[in-house]
Amino acid sequence: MSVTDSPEVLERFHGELSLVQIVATQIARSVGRSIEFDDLVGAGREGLLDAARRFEPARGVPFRAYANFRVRGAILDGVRQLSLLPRRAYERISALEAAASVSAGEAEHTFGAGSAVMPSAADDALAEHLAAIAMAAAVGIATETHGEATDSDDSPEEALGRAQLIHMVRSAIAGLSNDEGELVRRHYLEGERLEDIGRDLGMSKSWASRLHTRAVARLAKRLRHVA
Amino acid sequence: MFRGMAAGNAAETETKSVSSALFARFERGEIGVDEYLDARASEAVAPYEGKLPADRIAWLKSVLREQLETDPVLSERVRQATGRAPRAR
Repeated sequence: MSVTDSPEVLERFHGELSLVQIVATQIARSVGRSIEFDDLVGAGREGLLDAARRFEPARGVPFRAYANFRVRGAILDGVRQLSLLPRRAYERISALEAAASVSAGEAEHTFGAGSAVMPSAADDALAEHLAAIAMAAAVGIATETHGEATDSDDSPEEALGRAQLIHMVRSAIAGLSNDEGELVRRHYLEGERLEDIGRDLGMSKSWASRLHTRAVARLAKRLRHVA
Repeated sequence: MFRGMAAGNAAETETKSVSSALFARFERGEIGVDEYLDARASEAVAPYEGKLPADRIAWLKSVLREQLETDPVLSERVRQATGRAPRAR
């Protein structure tokens, strides 16, 4: 923390410190025992402070929701920078990163709707949101190549399944708009960061996030009907 | 081309019908919130069964199920659909 941080920033930070422990615990459970828990908490606290500084109340998203994504992203970034992990761990990191990215792009729309949403419409939106997360996470798993190979790595049949999934995604991308397709292709199939792709396309970070979520939701719908 | 479009539209209609039926069962009280959310998580990972190893699918489903309780956007959607916040697991 800096002596120049305002009282509002410090209040937000201290008010949600428990969130760091919660998210770090969830990630540690998913990624495995190869990581020091204190390292996760340290990265999470930096993410929380960043969130407290950047938060814009006018967007209508509660701070805890906004901070959740920042903390999660900071911890996952921190995990990636650690020494070589098993491939299974990197797959899970990719899947968790993808899930967080999809939800972050839906936050303003979801909290903006509030009590005006009919339950059946909320159910439709929930199903679509879950489908989008599942697709993004599945592709993240299928395309992850980092990490040490282990004896439990893919059989030839499993490798074929991954290749089929990647082929399905490539085919489905053809049905997206130019910007959507480029975002998805470069992020999921070529491993580039969303913010870098957004910058290349002349988009703000928040617009790139929303476009990403919309593109993934459309892809998920297409893959659901193909399957 | 038109036959392909018709087949695609039919598949989408069938998917929506099955999906709506699940929520209708919840609204009628035939299933509780947990069973409804379990079914939604299963539905989301179904297209990837056979494409990813079974253990990754199982892990992915468990992550989705956990996210329904802990992801603030998903849990808000659950509240909007069911009127209740998901129970912490």
